[in-house]
Amino acid sequence: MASCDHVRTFPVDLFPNSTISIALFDGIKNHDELKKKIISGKIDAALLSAKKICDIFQVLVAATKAVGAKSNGKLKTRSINSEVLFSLSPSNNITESLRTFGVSPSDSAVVAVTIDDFDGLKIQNVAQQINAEMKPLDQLNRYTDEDIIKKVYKISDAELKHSKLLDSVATRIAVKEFAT
Amino acid sequence: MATKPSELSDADMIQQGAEAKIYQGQFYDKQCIIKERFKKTYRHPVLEERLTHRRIAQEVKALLRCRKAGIAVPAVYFMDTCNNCIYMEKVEHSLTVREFIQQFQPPYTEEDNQILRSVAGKVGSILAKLHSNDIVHGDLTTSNILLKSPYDIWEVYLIDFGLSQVSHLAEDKGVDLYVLEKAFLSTHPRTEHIFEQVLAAYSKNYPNSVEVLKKLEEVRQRGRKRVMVG
Ligand SMILES: Nc1ncnc2c1ncn2[C@@H]1O[C@H](COP(=O)(O)OP(=O)(O)OP(=O)(O)O)[C@@H](O)[C@H]1O
Ligand SMILES: [Mg+2]
Repeated sequence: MASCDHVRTFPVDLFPNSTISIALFDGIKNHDELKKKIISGKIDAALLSAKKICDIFQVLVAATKAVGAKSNGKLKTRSINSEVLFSLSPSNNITESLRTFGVSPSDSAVVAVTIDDFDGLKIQNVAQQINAEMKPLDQLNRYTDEDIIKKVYKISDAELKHSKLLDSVATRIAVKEFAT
Repeated sequence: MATKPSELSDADMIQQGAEAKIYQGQFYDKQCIIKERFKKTYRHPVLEERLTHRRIAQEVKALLRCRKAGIAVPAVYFMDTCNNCIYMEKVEHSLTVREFIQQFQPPYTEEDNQILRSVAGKVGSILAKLHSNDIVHGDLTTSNILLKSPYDIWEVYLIDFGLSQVSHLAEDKGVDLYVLEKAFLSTHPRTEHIFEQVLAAYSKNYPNSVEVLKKLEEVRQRGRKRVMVG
């Protein structure tokens, strides 16, 4: 079994009873099988395409939104896990969001996110099912594809003159409902 | 989260305005500013709720529009819609233009003037960029413009967009400048020659400025008439 040393768990200050756990995996091959397990609920986690993640903070911003939506009874998708994916996306289209930020056959690296995983069992279960190697989270940047991120979030070079990519991404996630 | 977030204590409050409280806090590893809009109790509650919501929406919409236009503004980290709070990036190592100008005491030396004019020029060119993108701030004062150090670079940040709107009208932009002129000259006496530099840089960097400055002059005259009548 893969070691779980690299999992990081963050308490959510705004929703004190919740936590967000994050882990990075590389070397995925069983994409079809994973997809089935996600759909059937055997995997209770959000699996994100690592290319589209530039920083853990990006994941925290989206996951906090998802936790907030759940706590206010305002989930827009079927589960907290899909809500994490939907929150990450600048799009209001759920199917498109899940496709863009979920794992696709072209992804070797995946960021796994579990919510309220107090005993760490959910992420351990992911590690068992995923058939890939768990990596330290500080290696996340090795898998980031900034060009894809700029394209997905529609971030221009003019904007990046006065903003870090992460700030541009975080803002789009945070204000999505207000951006018409 | 229907109640006031517990981590916002009065100890962290750095400013209490008429319509908003400003707290300093942390969002994960980031220093942040939390802007809480509160209800004025004397107004109708439902109306009030709607108004508060609109202000918040206007504020974050403008922050996004500015950022896309390449204007430096704080990043937004989280929207707490239940408590009418915006969690935004704290612009570190910054001070307001107001605080900056107040570091100098009139009568200004030639060196003071040079520094003040240079900052005024930067402000003017940011306003040119703002208006060329059809964003009208609505509450331009020297407290709503931040300067981020190092001070020989002075990156200008705009904040406090709760009264902003999208408009292409020269009239709206002229009023925007008029509001700033009033605030500037009343907060900082004997700075006419510095404010001039704001307008000079504005015209230089904004092709449509002629029309706006014409409106500004009209608004000034209306202002004067009002004073004479009143
Ligand atoms: N993002 C920020 N980074 C650093 N300082 C900030 C930031 N936002 C606000 N401040 C500080 O707090 C002060 C008040 O903030 P702001 O202007 O947004 O609120 P306000 O004037 O009370 O709002 P309003 O006029 O809409 O009622 C600013 O003048 C500035 O000194
Ligand atoms: Mg203000």
